Amino acid sequence: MDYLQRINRLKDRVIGTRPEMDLENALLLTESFQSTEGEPLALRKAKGFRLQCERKDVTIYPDELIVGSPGSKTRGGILCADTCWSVLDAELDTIGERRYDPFSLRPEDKRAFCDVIRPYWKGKSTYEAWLAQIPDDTRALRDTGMVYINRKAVRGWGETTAGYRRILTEGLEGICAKARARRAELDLTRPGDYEKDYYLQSILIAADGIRTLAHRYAEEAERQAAATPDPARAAELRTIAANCRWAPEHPARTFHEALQALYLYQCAIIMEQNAASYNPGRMDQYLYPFYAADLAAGRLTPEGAQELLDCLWIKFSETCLFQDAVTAEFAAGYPMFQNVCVGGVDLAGRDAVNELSYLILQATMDVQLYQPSLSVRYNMAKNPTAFLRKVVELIRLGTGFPAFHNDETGIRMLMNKGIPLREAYDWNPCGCVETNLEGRLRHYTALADINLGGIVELALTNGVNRKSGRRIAAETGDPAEFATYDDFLAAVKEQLRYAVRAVVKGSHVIDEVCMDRPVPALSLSFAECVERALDYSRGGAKYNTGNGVILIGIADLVNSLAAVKQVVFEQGAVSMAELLRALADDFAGAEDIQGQLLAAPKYGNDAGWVDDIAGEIYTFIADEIESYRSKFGTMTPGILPVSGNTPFGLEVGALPSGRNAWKPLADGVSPSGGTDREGPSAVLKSVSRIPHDRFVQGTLLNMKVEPEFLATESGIAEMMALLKSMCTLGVFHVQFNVIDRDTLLDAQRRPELYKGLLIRVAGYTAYFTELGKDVQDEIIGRTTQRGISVG
Amino acid sequence: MVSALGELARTPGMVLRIERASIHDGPGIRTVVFLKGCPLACQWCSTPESQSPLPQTGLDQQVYGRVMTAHEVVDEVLKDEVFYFHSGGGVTVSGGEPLAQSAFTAAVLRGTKEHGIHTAIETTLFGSRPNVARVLAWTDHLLVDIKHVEDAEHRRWTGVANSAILENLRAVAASDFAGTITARVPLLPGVNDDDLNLFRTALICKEIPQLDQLELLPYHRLGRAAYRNLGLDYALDALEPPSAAHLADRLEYLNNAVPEVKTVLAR
Repeated sequence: MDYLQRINRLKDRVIGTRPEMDLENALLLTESFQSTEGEPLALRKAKGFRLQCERKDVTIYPDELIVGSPGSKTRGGILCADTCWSVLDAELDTIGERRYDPFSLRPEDKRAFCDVIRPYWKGKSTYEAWLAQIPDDTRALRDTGMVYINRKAVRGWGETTAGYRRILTEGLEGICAKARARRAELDLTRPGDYEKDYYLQSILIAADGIRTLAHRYAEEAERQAAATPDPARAAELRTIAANCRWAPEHPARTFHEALQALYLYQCAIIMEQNAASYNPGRMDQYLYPFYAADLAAGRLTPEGAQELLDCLWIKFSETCLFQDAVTAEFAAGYPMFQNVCVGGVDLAGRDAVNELSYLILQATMDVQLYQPSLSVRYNMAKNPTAFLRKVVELIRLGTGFPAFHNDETGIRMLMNKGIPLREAYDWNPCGCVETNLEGRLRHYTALADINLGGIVELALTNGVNRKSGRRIAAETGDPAEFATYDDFLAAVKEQLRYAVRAVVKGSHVIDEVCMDRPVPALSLSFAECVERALDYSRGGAKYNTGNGVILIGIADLVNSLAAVKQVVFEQGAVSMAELLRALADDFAGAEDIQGQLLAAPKYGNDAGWVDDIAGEIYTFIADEIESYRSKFGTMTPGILPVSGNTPFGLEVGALPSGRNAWKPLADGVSPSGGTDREGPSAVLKSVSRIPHDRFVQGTLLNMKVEPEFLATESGIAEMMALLKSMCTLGVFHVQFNVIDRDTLLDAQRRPELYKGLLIRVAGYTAYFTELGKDVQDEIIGRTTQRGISVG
Repeated sequence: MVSALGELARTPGMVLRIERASIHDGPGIRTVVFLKGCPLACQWCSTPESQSPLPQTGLDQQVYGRVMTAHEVVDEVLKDEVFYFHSGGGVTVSGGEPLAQSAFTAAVLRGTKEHGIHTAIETTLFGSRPNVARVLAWTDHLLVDIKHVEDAEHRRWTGVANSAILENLRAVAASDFAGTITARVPLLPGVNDDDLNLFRTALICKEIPQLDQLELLPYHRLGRAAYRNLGLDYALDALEPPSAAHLADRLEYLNNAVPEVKTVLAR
């Protein structure tokens, strides 16, 4: 394919670039804020954003057909000063060397940070506000690694699907016309209308910024077109110029314009707040009219469309997520989580797969970079088998993509969030495996994580943290006095209740802090934000729910309950006192006890009574989380570890499951590594006993498959059957690594040879060699059985 | 189904192990029930722990073989019915030799079939005619090995004559057995991979109306650890597995020599 030469050149440039801190955005924001003291915050933010658009770097690189960048570097980590400047302050000397996601920092940038950014923003960022306001009980659990809850204070909003459809079909001009009309209706003598007035003004300013940025790219393209001796490239540059000149200011007219406008808007919202999980969503749906019209008019061929999509895919891989060292441990690999989705059903509940669905799958097959995150909504009843087959062909490439989602379960999750069915049909996967709705829904999908291994431990220590010796949680009774399994279970539930309460309190603080984090550039594509003249951060979107509370260590909790039930209370083989001593000593001198605990039946083997424990305890947890409300709605549970099972494990001592102290916890809803002995069907059966639909922020399952398995026609057919079986069982998500163990070991030994090796970490894909050694070890340690196995 | 329940519960068998989600033992995703006890002693056998009809303890202290009722086996098989539905898979009773426990095998197959699930057996066909008939009554798919067409060679490598096997195969072919048959040759360099043996094997296959294909199963040595574990010697230590080129060559030979028989490499 001719077009692939261009794609490979573009790709090489991205792969060959080391991530670097990018302070341009922060310096421009600082300059603007210094000149707008005293004005309303939303207006200041909009003006700061517009100045960034007016002054930022607008480089266009060779070969590009889609242009733009939120920053000034190819792989830049953008520092958003107003949210989290102090993160860099704390890591000024270490960020280039840190274990997870290092960024190089140039000396001149370091100086600018010390001279300009720090003096201005000290005491003003949302991260500092959060640190000052975190509730004491929440802090105690956070500091001991029992919950992780800083995430939303060290980066911007994210975890949302902007209204891309509106940007493409109405253009900024359409949105501004509505904002102006709303402004005209206001009466500044009426209480509340003043804040609406300045808010609508901030929308107009942000829109003006985006328009200006697009026009600056147009000018740069014209300049390069005039300067280049290559007539073919000059023509390409003139097309780029024409595209940026027209869209997103006006509604896009062609497929190429639509892709360009979409990407410039994507840059804009990342510039406004660098954060993970700005999800382009259902591109095969909202781009299809442009594609079909171009084809009908003879302006475009499928191959031309493929090249444009591939170019866009490379742009998605450029920006890097900047976050603090600890948060990076929980989501390693610079993951921007820009989740693109294909498949599913349309608004009438019909098959939504179209030609573009296939081209989008092909783009990921062509480019094989770590972004965008590609998701499939597979609707078994409605989507064609040919589509499923194409999905398996992509799985076979071993990039870890796509994330395969069971559409019916996703639709039910949205409905459980309070979205009516007619709109739930339009859901899209978000970030890792969360659920979202384009341009209509506001929540943090993954506000905080609860360490379930830690919960078991606290029930066995009467609320004392083993590592620090501090009492940090509820006193649930002396465990030596537990006379029955139910006593132990009750203590575990009480510790769960305590942790959920602490997280909910923290979530309410974050909500409060983040209401002063206006995002007019994001909000302008949410119809209701303009209509209500209310920012996204304040609940302007059509639907709002409580934030996501995420659970990590699913198998550790189930296996610990099962082992105590069987070994201590049913067999009486080990007394509670012996168990407690063995755990305190990390099984030193008690290897026989550890052996008995390890021999107890484990989750992941389709063992009925163990899986019943899973069904019961996770229903309890979902009930517990959903019993709380925030200002915005019911709190929302989810199970997506990203890579947090590794750092969480470092904080937890030995567990009754037989797991040794300070080792990683199990990943997602997967069994603990090496404990599943019955093969993939048994794993899926066990996993299906968790009530997936209740965990509305998604559930995550990783499996690995050996390359030989997918080498034959019958292997492909059986993978398709396996995926259909998974849907029948009501499991929400699965993702496959097609990699053999030897490859991984070799990649660990000789990383220089495996620079491009992609691996599914947990709900996202990263470069294997850029992961920390212990995360690498964890991936290698997942059992690989014959055929398909869990990972 | 009420009819078979009592019989199932009363019929015990000696099971080596049950392997779920197999893709190597018949169509689709299958549960394979490996039984203990085999009248043959093939020198290349990759599961030597399946040969004795009695439980054995390995050097690893694991006990190989346990008594299960057919009812218990069927319950285990039913756990994966969703996967059979989507893949066209089902249960495969394998060996040891299923015919050596024909009442038990028939009960497992019947109990499974009553749930509408596809059934298969992997057999040497070394058994009495009534035992073959009893099992095939509940079998949809028959996987049978033709290890060597020359009786003397067959005796040398497997310990038994091949006459009963080939007669059973011809009898099934001529019977009203309505299922499908896959014939397989475990391909051992220098043992049974010569032109003549393969040609004659394919000619036998040609006469089987129920045949879907002839599969070549490349010899492998992955079973060696199992021999060590049982304190047994592995007779074929010096035998190298066939190369990919050799396999391709044998396949090409058969496809040219007997094109009427669809011959493939087993996956």
